[in-house]
Formats: sequence, structure tokens, C-alpha cells
Amino acid sequence: MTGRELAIYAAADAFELFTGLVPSVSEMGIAFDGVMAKRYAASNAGPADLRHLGADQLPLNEL
Amino acid sequence: MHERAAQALDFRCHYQLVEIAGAGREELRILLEGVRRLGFAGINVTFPYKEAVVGLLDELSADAALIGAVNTIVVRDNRLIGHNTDATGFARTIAPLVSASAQGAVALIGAGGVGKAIAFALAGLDVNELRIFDHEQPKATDLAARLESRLKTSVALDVEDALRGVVGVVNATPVGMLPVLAHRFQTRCCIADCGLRTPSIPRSGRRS
Repeated sequence: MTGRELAIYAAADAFELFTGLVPSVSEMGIAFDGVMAKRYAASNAGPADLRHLGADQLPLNEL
Repeated sequence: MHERAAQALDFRCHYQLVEIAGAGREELRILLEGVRRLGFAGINVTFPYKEAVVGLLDELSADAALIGAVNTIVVRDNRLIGHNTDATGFARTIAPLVSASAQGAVALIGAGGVGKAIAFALAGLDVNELRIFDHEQPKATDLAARLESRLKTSVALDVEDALRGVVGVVNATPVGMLPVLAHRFQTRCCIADCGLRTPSIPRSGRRS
């Protein structure tokens, strides 16, 4: 297993503690994969390509 | 993840990153006071503050108290309650692999906040023996001592020492290790890498 599974299940358990509701782990997995894809794309793009992004748009924030 | 999960359940949730580099105890206390007063349902805590917030909370779950680290703080009745979902999340993920693996020692690389949570999760899953390595040896020694009533523990001198003959390896450091150390694992060794920068594990080959 990788950190992906740990991050998703840890977040799912936190969500349940916050809300009292059981989340869809698969939905959270889709969100996680989307964020990571953007994060890797951004890190591969290099600093020059990140200049147009505001602080609230950096993919890392979405985790 | 939280926002998408909420959307799927038909309610709106806002999850906001609060980044505070190099915060001391007083800054953390002020931040947590804000969480308490501003109507948040809770907050997640990540490296390097998982241990630092423990003494600033009103209450700890039994697991978080045992582990000595918190990654989730829930606000209930104006009280800040610390939990550790690194441990519960890891246990949920790894339980099928642990029960399927042969009995034997498991190596834990990293004895920080996540490492502690994982160590207690492994103890709860009836792992026989845990061999702990941390580049700060006192951390490994402290964790081994805290676990010794629950399972057999030892402190490894280095990574090589930790990996010798184990049936499972958990990397609880932020540095992905699989590409570097894969050749050292024995056949049918169960590997858990908590880093997010690790490439996916091939389905064939020596790793399982």
C-alpha cells in the first residue's frame, strides 16, 4: 500500500468525527487523485508556470 | 476530499488550509482558540505539529492519549477533543494484509507522529514483533519503550538492520523509499509506504 490509502482512510475517519456521517471512500479517493494529479502537473511545470496561480489555487491546498 | 464527500451526502462543507510555518506553543494555542470560537467543526493537524498540540487540548481520545499525537481535533460543546485517525486509517488499510501475511517481525522506519500512530495500530492488529528505526534514535527508543507491554519491540541501528528478515515494512517518513530499497526486501514481504511521492507498486515482481 502507499500513502494514498492511508491519506484517504485517515481523512474518511476524520470526516466521520467532524460530521457524524460516514463518507464515501471512493468519492474521497477521486478527489485525492484529482488533487495529486494537479500537484504533480504543477511540480513538473516549474516555477515560471506557477506564477499565475494565487495562493488559494495551488493544488496542495485542496487536500 | 472532505468537500467532495460532503457534496455526495448533499450538504456543503468548506475545508480550508491554514498554513503556519514554524509556530510555537503560543501561536498554536491562539490558532486553536480561533477554531473553538469561530464555529469550525474541527481541524486536521499535520507535520510537524501532531505532538505539539497534545498539551493544548481539553480532552484526548483513548488512542490519541496512548499514541501521544493528534491529527484530528473535533470541537464539541466548546471543547477541543483530539483524535488520531492516522492510526485508525492505517489499521483499516493494512488489516487485510497483516492477517494475510506470515507471522514475523515488521520494520517501522520513522518514529515521529505518523510512525507512533502506525506502531500502535500494528500492536492492535496483533503483529508479533516490531523493529523500529529513526535517524533520531531517542525517538525510536522512546516508542519501543511505550510499546513493550503490547508487543515485542527492538530498536534498529540502521535501515539495513531494521529490514533484515522482516515479513513487513512500514515507511512512516515523508521520503518514499520503495525505489531505493526494493531490492533488499525478501520475497512475500508486505510493504506500506506512507509517503505521497512514491510511484505505484508494480503488481508483479518481488513485492506483494
